[in-house]
Amino acid sequence: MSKRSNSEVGMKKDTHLTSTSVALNRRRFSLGLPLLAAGAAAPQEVVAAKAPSRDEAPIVTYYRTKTIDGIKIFYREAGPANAPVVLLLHGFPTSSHMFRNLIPELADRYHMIAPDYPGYGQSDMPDRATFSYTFDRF
Amino acid sequence: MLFKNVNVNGLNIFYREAGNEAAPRLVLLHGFPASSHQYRNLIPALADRFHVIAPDYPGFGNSDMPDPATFAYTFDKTSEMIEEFLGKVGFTRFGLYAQDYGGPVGFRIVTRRPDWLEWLIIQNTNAYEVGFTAAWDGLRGAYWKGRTPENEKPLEAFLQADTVKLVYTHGHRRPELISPDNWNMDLHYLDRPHARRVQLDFFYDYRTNVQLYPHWQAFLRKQQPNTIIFWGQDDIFFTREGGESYLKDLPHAEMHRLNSGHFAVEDCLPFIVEKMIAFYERTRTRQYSSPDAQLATG
Repeated sequence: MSKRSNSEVGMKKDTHLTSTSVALNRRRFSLGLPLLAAGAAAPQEVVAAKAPSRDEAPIVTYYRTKTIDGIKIFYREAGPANAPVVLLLHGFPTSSHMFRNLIPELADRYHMIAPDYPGYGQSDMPDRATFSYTFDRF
Repeated sequence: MLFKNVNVNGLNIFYREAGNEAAPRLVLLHGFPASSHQYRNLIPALADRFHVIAPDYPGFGNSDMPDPATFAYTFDKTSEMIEEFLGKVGFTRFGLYAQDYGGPVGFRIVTRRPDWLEWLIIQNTNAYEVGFTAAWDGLRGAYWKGRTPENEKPLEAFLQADTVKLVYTHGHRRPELISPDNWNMDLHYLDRPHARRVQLDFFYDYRTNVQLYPHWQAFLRKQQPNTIIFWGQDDIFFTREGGESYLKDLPHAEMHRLNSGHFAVEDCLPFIVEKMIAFYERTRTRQYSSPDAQLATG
């Protein structure tokens, strides 16, 4: 039989603030209510997840957005900020999703970045009356 | 990793598989509103030590979804299908990783087949009444007491895009670590014919799980399987008390309280993998490795 051990990953000693925020979110989520404003669960604070006790830091892919000329561009990013940058540009009819496994494979050596073009994946898709879907514009 | 299909009682059951066929077996059972997709990163991370499979239940992911008029979407039926599936693929002794719906499906199977369970990994799956958050009030307070169109209507909120996303992001400290592929994939499956009716049928049938909690608790107390628990502390569906309650019936279990939510694998994967492997090496009672082992995957 295993010896009991307990651990708390990234838990703060004082979780009062966190608990309050959770209680609030639970109330807003309760199905008796019309509920569910987008972002209701936005965390009160952003705390780096505690890395596991390994020699090497684990590879982590980040899912981020940047607004370019008013259009939200989604991108996947991984690897050290000071490593050589590798830009991954996707094909038709896909998105940066096609690189989901390649990114962590190379991210120990390179700073990987893979955007979705406008109209693809999780980037904005403005009306074609107001945005020219051309390779020049991409 | 392989993406495979097997016919079980006339239905196509999809599953992901990786690892050496001679390695100790591990079954990963998924939650709501997901599929084996939720284990897409956990499977390869465990596959150098275990032979891992993760099926999609009927009505979920890439498995068949027959018309609810002709197929009973209940946890009983689901567990019978998955038990049959496990027998077909030769998994009759395994570690069980149960998250969310994985508990109600998996506990039914191993209480019928106690010799199938080698060890247990509990991750935010409920077996105690104190484990329900207020998110369940609409089900516990009305729907389960008598299903009507009126008390079913508000539950459809659970199947809307914002809610599905919220299940993945609530309680997770760094939203940029959670892949939007999760909810986009689930929403794709939920947009299929019958899918929302199927999910409502599971919501209603979930009440049968509560009736079985004493049975599952007694099973755990009696069997004392080697158990490691990972509990996302800010799960939108399950309370911290729900996780702690397992320790009453499994006082020797190894408990890890994660600063995470319902889908803790999304932001705690390396930690979960490291602790699972270390726990297994320390507690295993059987030696599986064989010199003429064949590779199941590339």
